[in-house]
Amino acid sequence: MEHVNRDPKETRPAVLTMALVLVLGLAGLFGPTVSEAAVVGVTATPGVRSVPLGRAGNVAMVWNVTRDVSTGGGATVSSASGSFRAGSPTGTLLATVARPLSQTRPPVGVTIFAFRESVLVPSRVIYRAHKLGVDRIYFVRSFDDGVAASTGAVALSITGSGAGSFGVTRLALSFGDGSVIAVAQPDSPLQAVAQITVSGSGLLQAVWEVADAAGTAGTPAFRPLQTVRRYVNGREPLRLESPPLPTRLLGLHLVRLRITQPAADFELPQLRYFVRAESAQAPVAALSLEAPAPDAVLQAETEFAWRAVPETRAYRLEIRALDDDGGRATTGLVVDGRRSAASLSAVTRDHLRAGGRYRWRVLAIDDQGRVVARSDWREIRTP
Amino acid sequence: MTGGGRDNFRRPWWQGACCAGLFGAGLMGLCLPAQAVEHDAAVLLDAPDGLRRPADPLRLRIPGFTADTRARFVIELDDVDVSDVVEAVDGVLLLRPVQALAPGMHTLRLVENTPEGEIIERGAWRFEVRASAWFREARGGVDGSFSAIGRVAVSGLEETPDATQSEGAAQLQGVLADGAWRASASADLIHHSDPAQLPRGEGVVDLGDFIIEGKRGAWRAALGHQSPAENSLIVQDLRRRGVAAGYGGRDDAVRVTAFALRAQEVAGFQGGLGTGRTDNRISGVTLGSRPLAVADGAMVVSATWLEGRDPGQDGEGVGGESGPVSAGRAATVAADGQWLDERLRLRTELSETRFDFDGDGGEAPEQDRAATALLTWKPLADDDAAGESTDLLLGIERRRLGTFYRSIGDPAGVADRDLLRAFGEFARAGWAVQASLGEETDNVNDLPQLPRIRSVQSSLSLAWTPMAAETETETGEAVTPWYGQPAWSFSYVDYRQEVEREGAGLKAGRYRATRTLALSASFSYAAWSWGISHTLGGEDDFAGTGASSDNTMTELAFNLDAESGLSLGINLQRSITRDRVAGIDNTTDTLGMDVAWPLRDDLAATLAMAYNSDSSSDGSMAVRSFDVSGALRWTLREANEERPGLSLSVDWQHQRQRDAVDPEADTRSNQIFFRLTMSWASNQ
Repeated sequence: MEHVNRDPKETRPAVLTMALVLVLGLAGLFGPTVSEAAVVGVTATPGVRSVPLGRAGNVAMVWNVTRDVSTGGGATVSSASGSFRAGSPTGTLLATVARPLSQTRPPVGVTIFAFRESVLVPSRVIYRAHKLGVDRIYFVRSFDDGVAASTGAVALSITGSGAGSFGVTRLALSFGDGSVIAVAQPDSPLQAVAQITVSGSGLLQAVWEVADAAGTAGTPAFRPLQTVRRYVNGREPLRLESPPLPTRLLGLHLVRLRITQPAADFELPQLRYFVRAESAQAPVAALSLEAPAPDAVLQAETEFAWRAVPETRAYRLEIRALDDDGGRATTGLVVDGRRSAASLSAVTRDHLRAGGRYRWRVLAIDDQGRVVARSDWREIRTP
Repeated sequence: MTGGGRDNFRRPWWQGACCAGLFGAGLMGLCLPAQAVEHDAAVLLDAPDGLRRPADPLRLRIPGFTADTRARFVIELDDVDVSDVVEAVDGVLLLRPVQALAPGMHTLRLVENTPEGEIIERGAWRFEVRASAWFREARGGVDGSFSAIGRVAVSGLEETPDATQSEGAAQLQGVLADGAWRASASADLIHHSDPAQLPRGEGVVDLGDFIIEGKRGAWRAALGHQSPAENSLIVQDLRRRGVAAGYGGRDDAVRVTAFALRAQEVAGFQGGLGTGRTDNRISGVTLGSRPLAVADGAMVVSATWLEGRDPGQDGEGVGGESGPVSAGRAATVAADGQWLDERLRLRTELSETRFDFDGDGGEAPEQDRAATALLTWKPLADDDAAGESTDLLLGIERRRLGTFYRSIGDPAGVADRDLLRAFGEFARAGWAVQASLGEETDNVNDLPQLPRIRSVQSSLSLAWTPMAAETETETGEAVTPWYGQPAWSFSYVDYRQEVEREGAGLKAGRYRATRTLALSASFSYAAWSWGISHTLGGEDDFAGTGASSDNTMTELAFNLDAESGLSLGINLQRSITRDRVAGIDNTTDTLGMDVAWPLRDDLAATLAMAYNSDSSSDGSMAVRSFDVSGALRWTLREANEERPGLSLSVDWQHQRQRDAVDPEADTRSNQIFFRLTMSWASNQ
């Protein structure tokens, strides 16, 4: 056997090769493999929106996060928060939106995660950006799947109040008298009012909903009352009135205006109202008028006539000025309950000014002094 | 004739005068009506104990009053003829008020229509009605109800409700008054065994709306939920919990009010009187004056000043931008005058605000101004034109609000507007027409980096409500025509925007446009009514910053209120929205029905049903929901002033939702509860 002495220079390449294999093997054990997921890009749709200076704005966007994966298990793509930056995606930080977004999907090659988001841009953010001398704000989010991260941004151009992306910036609910909580009698009229401030213009889509007492004892179940579709612009606050709210069932009711488009970036408010049992007072029935016709001219021989109501002690004919909002009537007449017609005496007509417009109605009063029937108002003129 | 001569014929002077007087009276007796009533003899008799209470009868003695002369007299109580309900008892006219008189001063008047055609006032009396010797007014009471609820069965709910619950509500009211002072209070209390259902989220009883008011002469004060400041450029619908005090009423020459309100509304036993937190309070003063006393309301001058701090839209019933706390100050002066019999009106207002937009940031508050001017003229104001009452109003308005104009008293306000608008209104013979044309621009402060948008809005509305001529049956009963009492309306609104000056990436030219056309008709009968409406709308986006869509909505409604007590309401809506860019139609159908049916005097049923369907033409959305709720209520006894009422009811609710796109989101739930309710009412 011949012993071959090898030159050290001839053994160096083999050592290097072995070291490389060892390193790659260790990397393969502990490092990312070519087959794991990775967020490769984030785009926002639309890329540009506008917000008004001096007031809040509301913008809707869709983040499309592209993740590339060949093999491997499922992954979660998430974003912990978004931030407003002045002038560029890396500009001065103006504010942070601490709202996480997250989706988990099974890996299927190249996957696009779509995150829908509606963001309320505070007026102070827009104002601070304006003071910094920039005409754009960027809303920036970074999406991460635990392997790699990528950042996307939506540009928000600062405009005057006439422009601005369509969005709801404020919603205030109240009842007709301005209260935010009500106690009502059964079958009494009750209505909610929504005052909505929007930026921009577009189609407002909403629905009035109520959860009545049959369900609020358990889990409130809202049912639709009325669908709202209205093209609005942000030049004036919008006032919407609900249909008559249900007041037949006793107990707690909840009412809300659920705005579906544009999506609002705040918790939608709701109102409470309680329907209590009726009091001892009997309901007031409708009383039909027969004469004179609406907008008649009052003459000496004008006869006021109405349909009789049973068990009436007396009828009271009230005449008020059109702008009279309460208190005592201008004049009138009280007649026995057995009558259903009457004329005004000269003394009574003397209380009315010439050439005036008045309104009148008839009340039926029982022997307890309670109004048991009431007519609608009718207008009358004096010559 | 015996002696005495001349002396026999001399009478004392006074005897001669008496003879002359008797002779004259005899002559006058021949001239006077045979049954004349002496005008100074009518007397309003005092109340037996010197105290007139609200329901006490009034007694009027008219000497010589008989059944034959009764028809000549008119008796008025507070200018209302009550002659027909006056009784004559033993020569005294007895008037029992058909309704209890309100505490305070009243007038009773006796007028005679003489046979000669004269109207002569025979007496007029002012008297006071009091609740008691101590107080002119004294009343109070509590109306409310309490329900004990028992769970019968539930299914499909994420959380099972408690087996027993309770809830209730009460309304408290009270009034005390005497002399020149008056105090009143009203408050709502609510109860629920689940604290989460109460405004403050804890406890079992909570407070709703409340107001406590006091007046003495022209001075007044109020604690609770109120609106102390009138609407203006710096205040709009500012109703909050707080305190206010002032001098003068609406009809006084001067009216001043100072107030402190919570900036964000609060409900429940929290927040005290609403003025405790300095970071959530608006304080101010408002002044109203009538400097020209030429005619009532000829000129009114008003001014308001306020300042405060607002933490954002986190109050009760509101949502929106919240935090940080922003400080603001605002002032406004307005003059509103009417002349020429209120046909000509001019209103002007100037205001200034100072608002800290970035809260605790480093920027100084922004100061800006606003001004409005409104001129209206009524060439026709209820004037007779061809036999019909006619109204015509023409007006012009200019409104300018700076870019940084913002008032802490008007959180919903929209600034940065320079508006010029002309409008008109016409009404005659059931017709009403309204038209308006306005143009406005933004970027009022002419900031160089901002674009300028010009907006033009035009609108036209027509309404016709002809009075349906009622016919009479053979028995004289009025009958509504077969088509009922109709009401028609038409409206059209056109809104266009264009970029007048470029900036922020916007190029000059058309920007956006919307239009809406609405038609409606309703027909009313004695016991029922129905109506139909159709709305067409669309929006166009020319700058690529929004959506382009069309929408149509059709509504049909029917309501019935039968004399038997049956009440029925049906409402049907269909809306189709088309996204022109994506080419997708979204359809929403809603059907609602409400029924109330008195089965017996003591048994009533109610039922409410709602069906809703949302779908899109691309199949991405297909959701249907169906809700039914109702109750069967048995009244065990009615409430009256002496005992509470009692009723037993069964309430049920069913809800089902189906999502064809995501079947895992389907839900179905049922809830049935027993409810025992006690109710009471006070005698006020």
